[in-house]
Amino acid sequence: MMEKMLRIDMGAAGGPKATEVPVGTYAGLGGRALTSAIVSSEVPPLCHPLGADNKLVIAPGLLSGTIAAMSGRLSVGCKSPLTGGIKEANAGGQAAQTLGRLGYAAIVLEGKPKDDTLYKIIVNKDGTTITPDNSLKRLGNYALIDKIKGEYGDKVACISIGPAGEMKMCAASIACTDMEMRPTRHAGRGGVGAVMGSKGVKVIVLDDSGMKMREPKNPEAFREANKNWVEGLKKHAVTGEGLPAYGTNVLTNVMNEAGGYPTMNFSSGRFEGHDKISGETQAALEIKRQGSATHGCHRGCIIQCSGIYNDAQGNYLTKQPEYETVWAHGGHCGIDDLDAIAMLDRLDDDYGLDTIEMGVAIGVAMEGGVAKFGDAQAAIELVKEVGKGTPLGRILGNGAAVTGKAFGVERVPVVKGQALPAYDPRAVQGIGVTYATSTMGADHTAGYAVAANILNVGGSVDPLKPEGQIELSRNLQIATAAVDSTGMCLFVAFAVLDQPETFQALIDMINAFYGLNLTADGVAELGKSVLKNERTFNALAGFTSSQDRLPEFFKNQPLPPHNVTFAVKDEALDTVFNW
Amino acid sequence: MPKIITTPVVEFLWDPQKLPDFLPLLRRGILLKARLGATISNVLCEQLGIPREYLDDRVGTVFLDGSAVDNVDKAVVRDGGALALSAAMPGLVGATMRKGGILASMRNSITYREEDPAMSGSEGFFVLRLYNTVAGELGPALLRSGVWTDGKTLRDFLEDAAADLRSGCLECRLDGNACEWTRLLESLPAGQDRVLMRVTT
Repeated sequence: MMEKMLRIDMGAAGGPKATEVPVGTYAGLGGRALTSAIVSSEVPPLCHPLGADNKLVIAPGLLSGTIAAMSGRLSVGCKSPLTGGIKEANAGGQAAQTLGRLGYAAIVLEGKPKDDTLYKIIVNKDGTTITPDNSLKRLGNYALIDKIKGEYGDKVACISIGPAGEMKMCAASIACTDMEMRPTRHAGRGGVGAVMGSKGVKVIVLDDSGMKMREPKNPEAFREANKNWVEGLKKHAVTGEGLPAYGTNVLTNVMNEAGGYPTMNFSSGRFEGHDKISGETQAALEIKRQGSATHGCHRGCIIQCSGIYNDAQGNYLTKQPEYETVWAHGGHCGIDDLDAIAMLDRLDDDYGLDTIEMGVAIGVAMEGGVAKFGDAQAAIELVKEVGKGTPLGRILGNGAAVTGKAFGVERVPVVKGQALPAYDPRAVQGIGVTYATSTMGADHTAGYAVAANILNVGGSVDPLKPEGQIELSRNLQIATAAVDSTGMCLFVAFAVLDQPETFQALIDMINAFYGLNLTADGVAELGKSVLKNERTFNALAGFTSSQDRLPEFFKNQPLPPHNVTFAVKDEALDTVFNW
Repeated sequence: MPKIITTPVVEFLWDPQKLPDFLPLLRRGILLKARLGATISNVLCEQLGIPREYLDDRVGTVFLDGSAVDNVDKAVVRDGGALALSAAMPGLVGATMRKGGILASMRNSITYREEDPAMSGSEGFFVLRLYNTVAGELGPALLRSGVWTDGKTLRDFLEDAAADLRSGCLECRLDGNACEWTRLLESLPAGQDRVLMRVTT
C-alpha cells in the first residue's frame, strides 16, 4: 500500500533533507485529488509561485504500480507561475508506476535552496539520496537522461527538467521517461517545470528494483475487474481501433471539417494544409520510415495511442507528436510540414517546454510580426531562442500571454494566462465553458468525456437549452477531477462514456484494491471535493468571476467558415459551480 | 455543330497491397452521382449500397457541408453538397462531434439543421470525403465501382505522390486504351472538368 509520502525540504539547514512521513489525513487520495489537497491545505495562496512557500507535489494515481491497465499517469501539482492559481498537470511514462511500486503516495518538494546549486534525487528501496550535481546545469532532457543512464542503467524512471525549467520559464514542463527511457512524456501545463527549477531539482531518479507490484486487498476480484476493464477498452472503436491506428492526431481532419480547427492564431476554423499534417498522413509516414504508428508511453498501456517518428533518414527524431502539438506548432502557426513539427516537438521535449504553450506563443508572435505565418524554419529558430535563453526566448518561453503583451497583439488566446488548446470555442461552445471556468486555466482535459447520465451528477441535460452547456461542463469537470485522481489515462474516458460496464469495472478495481464500497455517486463526490479544494485556493489567491471568461475576441470576431461567436452569457458561466 | 463533351475515363489496375495509396484522394474528396435531395441514409445505403449497419455502427461522425449531423435519416444531401464520414473520434471534443451523441449540445453552433426536407429526386453530384478507418473500409469498393473527380484534383494527387503511387500501378488505361503514366498526366483535363476513375486490383 502507498501509506507513506516523501517530503524533501530543499531549504533545510545543512542542505536538502528527505523525510518519510505517513500519508495521514491524505489517506485514500491519489493523483490530482492528492496534489490539490496538499497544495490547497499547505501552500499559502498568496505566495510567490517560485518562492520557498510553494510546494511541488508529485503523485501517482490510486492504481499506479498495480497490474491495472492504463494506470500510469503521474500528477504534478503546485501554485502555477503561469496562472497564479492552483495547478495539476499530468503525464504518462514510467514514473507513476515506479513511484507506486516504491510505495510512495507522493513526493513533496518544499522550501528552496540557499544558492543556485542543482541537485539530483535518487529514490530506491533503501531510501533517498540527494546529491548536488552542477554538471547537469543547462543540459537538455535528452543529454541529461543519457548521463543518468550511464550512471544508473536503463531500468530506472526519471522525472526531470530541461533548461527552460532551470530558467524558471512559465512554459516549462516536467519530463517523465517512457518505456525506452526517453524524456518524451511531459506534465506540460502551467509552468510546473519552473517550480521544480525553483527548488533546485534537475532530476529525480526512481529505481524500483527489488520491489514488487502492489498487491490488492481482494486479488481475485481485482483480477476479474481488470479483465473486464481491458475487454471494455479493447472492444471500443476509439480505444481499440482509432487511437492505436492514428493516435490523437486523427482529430486534425475532423476538426478541420467541422470548421473548429483554430488556424493562424484563431483567425479561421479551417487550415488549407490540414491533410499534410493529419494523423492519417503522419501514421503512413511513420510506418514508411520504419518508425511506428502504434506505441504505448508506459508499460501496461493497451490503447497504444503514441508512436515513433523517424526522420527522413530513418533515425529516431521524437515520439509521435500528438494532436495538440501538431496543431499548436502546425495549423495555429500556418505550418503544414510534419518534419518541422516533429523537430519542434523534439526541441520542446529537450528544453522542457509545454508544446501547447510554446506553439500558441509562436503563433501570437507571428501575428505580432516576429515571423511570417507558415515559416517553419523561423518557428524552429524561435524555439531555439527559448533554449538559449535570449531575451526574445525568455519572452516566448513565458507563454502566449507575455508574448502577446510584448508584441502588442490583441488576439491572445489565453484564459487565466494559459494558452487555449486545439478546439475553437466559437465552434464548440461547450468546451468554451470549460476553458473559461476551469480552475486550471484554458484546459481541454478539464472537462472530459464521462457523461452525466453515467455518473448521475447534476441530473439530465436538455440539449436544446443553452443551460445544457453549463450543466454538461459542470458534470464533465467533476468527472474529470475524479478520473485524474485514479491515475488512469484520460483516454479511458471514451470507453467509459459509451460502456457503463467499463466504468463499473474501473470502480470495481478501486474497490477490490482498497477494500472499499465506492459507487458512481462516491466517484462524483470525489470529483466535487477536488474542484472545491481548487476553487477555494484560487479564490484565496485573488481569483474572481472576472477570470472565468474567454478573451473578448471570441465574443466579437466571427469564426469562418461558420461565422459564429461565443454566445454563452457571463451570468451562465458564473453558475457552473453551483451544485 | 455543338461541341460534344465527353468525360474521360481513367482505369487503374493496382497492386492490392498498395491500394491504401489512394486514401489521401478519398480525404481530399471524390464526386459521386446520386439522386439528390435525399437523406444521407438514402444516398449512402439505398443508392450506394453501404450496409445500414455499417453506417450506424462504424460511422460515428458525419458532417454535411461542414456541419455536424445527428440524424442521418433527416439530413438531406443536395446537388453540390459535401458529405464527410469518419469513425468515432477521441477526446472530449471528438465525442461532442459524434452523431446523436449525448454531448452534441456542446457544438450547437455548428450542428446541421434541416430546412427543407422535400425530396427532389433529380440526379446530381455530391462530394464525399472519407477519413481514417472509414476510408480504408469503404474506399476500395467505391474506387472499384467508379468515382468522379475533377481533373486538377486527380492530377495534383497523382503528381504529389508520384514516386510512391507509380510503384503500385500495374496498368493504367485512358478511355479504354493502355496509357503511359506520363501521358496520362498530360491528358487529364485542366481545372474543374470531371474525370471518371476506376481502380481495380
